[in-house]
Amino acid sequence: MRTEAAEFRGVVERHQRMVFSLALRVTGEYGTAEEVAQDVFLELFRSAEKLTGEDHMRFWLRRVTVHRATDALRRKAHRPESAAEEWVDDAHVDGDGVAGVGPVVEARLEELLGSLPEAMRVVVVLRYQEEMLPDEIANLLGQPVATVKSNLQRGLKLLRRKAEITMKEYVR
Amino acid sequence: MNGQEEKSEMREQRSEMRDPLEPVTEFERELTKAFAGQRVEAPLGFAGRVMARAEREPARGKLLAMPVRQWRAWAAGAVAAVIVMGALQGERVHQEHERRVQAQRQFEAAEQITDQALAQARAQVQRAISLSE
Repeated sequence: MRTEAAEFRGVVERHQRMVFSLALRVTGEYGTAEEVAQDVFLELFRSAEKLTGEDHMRFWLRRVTVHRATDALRRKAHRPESAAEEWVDDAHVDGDGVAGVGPVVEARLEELLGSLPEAMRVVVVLRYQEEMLPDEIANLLGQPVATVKSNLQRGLKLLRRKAEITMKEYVR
Repeated sequence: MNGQEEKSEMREQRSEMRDPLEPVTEFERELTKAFAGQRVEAPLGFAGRVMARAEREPARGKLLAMPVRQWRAWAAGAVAAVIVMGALQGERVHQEHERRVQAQRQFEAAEQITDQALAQARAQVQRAISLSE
C-alpha cells in the first residue's frame, strides 16, 4: 500500500500542472480548477490499474479533466459568455500577429480565452496548451473532426478580434 | 472597390479557406507561447491534499477497479488453496478411518483369543468334573 501510495503521488506530481492548467483555463476559476483537478486525480486513483501506460494515462487525464471542467462550468454558469456571432460576423483574420508576448499580453490572452464560448474555449486550450492536432482533439472529445476544426477556427477568429479591440497596442 | 478594400477582402477569403492550423500564423504562435509555454502551477500542497483524499477512499473502490486479468489470478490462487486444503483434510480423514479399522481388527482378534481361552478353560473344567465323578 505504501509503494502504491508513493507511485500515485509520483503520478500526481508529474501531471498536476497539465491537469490544473487545463481545468483552470476551461473553468476560469482558481478554486473550481483545484476542485476539478483533485476530483480527476481521485478518479484516476480509483481506476489507475485499468490504464495501460503513460500515453493512455495522459489521454485519460485530459479527457476526464475537460469533461469535469465543462460540467463544473455548466453547474456554475458563472461566466457570462459574450455573443460569439456578434464578434465573429464582422471579424477578419489577416495572419499577422501579436507583437511580442510578455506577461501583460499573456494575462490578457488568458482573460480573452475565458470569455470564449465553452466549445471554442475547450478546443483552443487543447490545441494551444496541449498542442494537440484536430483529429486528436476530436478523438478526446468524441466529436467529428469537422466540428473541432470549425470550433477552432471560430474560436481563433473571435480571440483575434477581441485581441484587436482590447489590445490595440500589441496586435498589428 | 478600391485597393484597400480589395486587399482586405482577399485576406478575408484567404483566412476563410485556409486550414485552421496550416500555416501557423504569428497569432497562433503567440497563443502557443502563452498557453503551452505557461502552464499554470498547481496550488501549493496540491499533491498532499489529493493524497489525503485518496487515503480516505474506501478499499472497495480499488477492489472493484481490479482488472479481469488480476481477478483471474486471485481466483486461481483461491481455488488452488481450496484444493490443497481439501486434499489435506481428505488425507487426515482417511488416516483416521484406517486407524479406526485397525483398532477394530485388533479388538476382534483379542476377543477371539479370549473366547478360545475361555472355551479351553471350560473344557478342562468339564473334563476334571467328569473324572472326579
